[in-house]
Amino acid sequence: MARSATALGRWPAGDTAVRSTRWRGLLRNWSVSVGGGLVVVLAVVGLLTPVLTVRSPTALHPGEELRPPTVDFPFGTDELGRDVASRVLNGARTSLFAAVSSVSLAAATGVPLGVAIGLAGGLVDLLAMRAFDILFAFPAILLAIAIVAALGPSLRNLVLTITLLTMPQFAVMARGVTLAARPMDYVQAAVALGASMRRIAFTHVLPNVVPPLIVTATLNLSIVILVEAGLSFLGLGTQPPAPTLGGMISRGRQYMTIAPWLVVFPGLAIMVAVLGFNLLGDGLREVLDPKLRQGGGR
Amino acid sequence: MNDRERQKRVVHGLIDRRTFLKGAGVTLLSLSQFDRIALAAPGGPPKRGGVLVVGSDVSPPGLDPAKSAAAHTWMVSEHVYSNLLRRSPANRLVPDLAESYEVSGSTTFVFRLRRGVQFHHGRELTSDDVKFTFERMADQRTASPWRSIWLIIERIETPDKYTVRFTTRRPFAPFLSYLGTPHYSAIVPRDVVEKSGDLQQTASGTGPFMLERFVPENVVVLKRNPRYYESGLPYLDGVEYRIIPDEAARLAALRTGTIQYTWSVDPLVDEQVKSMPGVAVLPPKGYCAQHTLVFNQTKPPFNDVRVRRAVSVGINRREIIRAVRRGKGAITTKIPPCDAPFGYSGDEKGLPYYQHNPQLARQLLAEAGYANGIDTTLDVPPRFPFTVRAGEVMREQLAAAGIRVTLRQGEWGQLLTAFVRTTYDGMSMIPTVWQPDPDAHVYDIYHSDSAINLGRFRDPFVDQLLEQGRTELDRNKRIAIYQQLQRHIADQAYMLHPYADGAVELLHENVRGYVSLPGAQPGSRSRHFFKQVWLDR
Amino acid sequence: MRAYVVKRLLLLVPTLLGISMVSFAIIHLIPGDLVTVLLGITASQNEQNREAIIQALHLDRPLAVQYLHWLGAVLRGNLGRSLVHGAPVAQEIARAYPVTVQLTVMSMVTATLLGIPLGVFSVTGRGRGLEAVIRVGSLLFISAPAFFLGTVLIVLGARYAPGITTLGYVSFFAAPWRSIGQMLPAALALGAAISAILLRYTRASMLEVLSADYVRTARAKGLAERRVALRHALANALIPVIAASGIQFVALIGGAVIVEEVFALPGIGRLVVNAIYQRDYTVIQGAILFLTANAVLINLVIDLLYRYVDPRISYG
Repeated sequence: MARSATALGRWPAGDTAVRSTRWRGLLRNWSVSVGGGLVVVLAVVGLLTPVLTVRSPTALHPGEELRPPTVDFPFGTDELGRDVASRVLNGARTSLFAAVSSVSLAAATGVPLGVAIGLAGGLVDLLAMRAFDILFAFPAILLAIAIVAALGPSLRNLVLTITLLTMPQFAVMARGVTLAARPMDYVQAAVALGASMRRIAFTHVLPNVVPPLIVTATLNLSIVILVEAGLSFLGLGTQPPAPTLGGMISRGRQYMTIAPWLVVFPGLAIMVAVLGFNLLGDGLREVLDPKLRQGGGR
Repeated sequence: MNDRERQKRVVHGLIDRRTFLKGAGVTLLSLSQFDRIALAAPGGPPKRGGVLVVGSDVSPPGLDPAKSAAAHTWMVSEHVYSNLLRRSPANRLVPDLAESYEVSGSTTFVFRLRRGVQFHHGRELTSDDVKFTFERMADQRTASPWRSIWLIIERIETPDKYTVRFTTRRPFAPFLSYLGTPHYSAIVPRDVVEKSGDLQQTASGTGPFMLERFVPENVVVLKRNPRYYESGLPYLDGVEYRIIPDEAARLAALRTGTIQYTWSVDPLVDEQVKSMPGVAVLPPKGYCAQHTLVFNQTKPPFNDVRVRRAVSVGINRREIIRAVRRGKGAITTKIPPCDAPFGYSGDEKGLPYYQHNPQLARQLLAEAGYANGIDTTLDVPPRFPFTVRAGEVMREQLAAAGIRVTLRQGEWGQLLTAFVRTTYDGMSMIPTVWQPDPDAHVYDIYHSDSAINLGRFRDPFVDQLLEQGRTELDRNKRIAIYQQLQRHIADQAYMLHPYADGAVELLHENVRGYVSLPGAQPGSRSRHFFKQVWLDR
Repeated sequence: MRAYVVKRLLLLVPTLLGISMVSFAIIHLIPGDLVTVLLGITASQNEQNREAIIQALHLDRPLAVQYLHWLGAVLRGNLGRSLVHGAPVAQEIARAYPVTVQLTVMSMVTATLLGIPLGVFSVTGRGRGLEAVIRVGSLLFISAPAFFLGTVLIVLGARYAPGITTLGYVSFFAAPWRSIGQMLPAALALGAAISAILLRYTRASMLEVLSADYVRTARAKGLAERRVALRHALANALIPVIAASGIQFVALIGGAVIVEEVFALPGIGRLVVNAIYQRDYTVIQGAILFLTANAVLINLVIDLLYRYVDPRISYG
């Protein structure tokens, strides 16, 4: 996770005129199509999980503990005799929900904050940046442990914690874009014409934020899944018996030598999700960043 | 009953008569030889030398036995310090630093100390150190977790260098038992404590091993005490505790031989080490560690005995033991099966509301006015994964009985505090520790006036039985009292104990002469006999 | 330049003050009570026992007073003693910090050795199968949680290379080679994910530089593509990679706790996490203060380095 206020936010101010041509390049980029495809598949599976899973992810099947994959249990069963397939699907759903909701929350709060800081400038900017420095200097995992310990582990608190940890990134990114856009002719013109700050923010600055926002968001989605895994390892993830991918790996890891299916299937699910989000993010970056687009030469 | 008769009963009640006579009359060396012969493992006569490397999961928070309530402190300190009495490998109380002792009346205990015993820093142990040890624990400034126990002592006199006389305020049945439990009464040197303030970072005792190095979170190194009073012991040159928190990593270290001894509470560990050449598995010698599930009885629904009984018959104890422990566990009360006959011996017999019966549960709920069942919470600590698993299984079982449970994990410090103070919402469950005496198991958590009455219930009949059990010195009468108490608790379902279990010990085959006592928590983390261990190299 | 450094150093003071206040508040807001954790169930019941501990540790005073008391001692250079076992906090930090620094440095070296060359290849090999292989492969590294990768290394190591010790810590100064060898698997587990991050930065940065005018000129002169990439682009492309590495370095020092736990390394992450679990307030406070000061100073050094290699940046 990138964690310095100074080094983040080096995003170029886009020229609004070329925006329409960018979108056309999107689907021709293989990272975008593969990554996007994976993300769509995940979303569909997530939505259809209640239909797809025959068994409850928490139902115990006495006498069926630690069964290797069979026709009956395609991903095997865990140490309490629960259906791993159902747990992976439901766990993926939970992990994706946590990832998408915390990143959306972080973006929804961080971006307006960053734009406001950038437009205000001066002392506000200085103080805000130092405040972010404090947040960045604070060891993230320790902050997460302290917050979860204080609020108690639950899906909601996990989302809140990760939101708090990633929000500054969005704010600093948005501030960077805003600062870069300020000297642009059209912004200066708008200022000269007496447009309100709110209007400038909405019509001239926010459109520039969109490309880097998409990239930062997709990259963060995969990080969030791993942060959740780390917190599960420390026993601070979501509540049992509801499964999460990270929690399943952290628990199944102990039995890696005698029941590898306990980690292989949730591991594959994490890989698909991370791969999907990262490819999509990288691809979007290449397509949306004008400098890279020229250099890409495709 | 006159005093003399009472004294005899003490002797007969708590210590086997032959052991007592040996301790009192014959020299102690012969006794320990007796124990050693009983132990002698195949592999020929013991060989001297070598260092035993132990893989431990948690670093001791400090090394002072009088200041730390952590089992990981005792694991180390029990090898560094000695007590007046100890438990033999056959689990009998026998004299240790005391050469002999007498009980006169029901409140006076006179111990004659072994002569010439040296502390690790080279000074001889005297009766003054013994007096100092107990006065230090009773002193408020020491903030010892064992303070409340030793407040029972009215005065300690030292008529000469080798004699100590304790007078207790009232008859106290568990007294000798506490004196023979390492962490409650390890004898410490006055001069070292007065010089360094406490013994958290330093150590000097009279035990078989001396502290060489303590690097928190990394390693504790003990070396052989050449002046140990049991001649020839210990066989090892030293014992080293490597702190390896992760169990998968610990098992890997066992496979490579980086460590030669460790333990596990995971019932699947047998299968995991099956492929490891030269690693032996020692199953627990008795199920001593139990889980305690408490109800918040300050408010509905659990202030109603019918609802608590519904939970008691709503859980299937045998199925929990099968699914979570792979059958390696037993039915229990607060006094675990390894302490039978004080408790019950591992089945439901004689204990009301112990048989699984979901229909009865629904009926009891309906009688209590919850015909549609109840929604409640169960707090479980992720620090103990098997407690969480037991919670997961119980949640499914209780759902079938109309009790819909939301599991809540909590960070340990937070969960423990709520458990003790009854500030959780519905129910809370943690593994609870083994205690050296039935009184210690139940007195504080059952008594109406106790600040840590678990669940905040008040029952004058329970209080009456507790007082009887504490002051009654006749063993058979005590057994009857504690059995009646456990039956009453089960009937009222004041708290539940879903199962008892113990840790499996894992060691390399070249580790010989190893013995541990069932008891400490969880399983056998403490009270193992490293001084008699030798390495067959 | 000097004015800039002085300004940043002066800002360190309010930053640290702010952090110490925030962390003090957070720590004391966590429910759960030191006395119960310290004494255990049975012993914590006794009111006199509780009182004794509370008084001995000054836990009965108002939070603000406790904070000022602590701050006063810190200003006199005294971080206090552990509430749990009485060892000086400074000594605990001095014991744990070198472990984490060594782990961090070794992980960063691993990550750099893997990430930057692969990042360059993924650009020079564009359009060929190699690019896809490298990118997907690196993402697999990112997607494996470090604790999982670590467990795999330990378990496989124990089975197939039992002679190699993968656990525990030997001081670098006591036995340098053994120390490095023993920590290598942990560094790999941590470095793998970071190498993938560096790979992505290198790649993005390379692509950006390759589109710059001077590179186009070089290309127009007819230089081979590989030569262009290595000679002209790489040096400039590495500038943002340095920044990214710095960020990762800072994050690792406080964030290596999980790998420290898996590999049984007595580092500073475990020191703080265990202190949080035991409510050892003085250790948490001292260690967080130290880690934050450490992070701010390293960030400053990185900024200065960054400005040194890229003179276009002005001192703000």
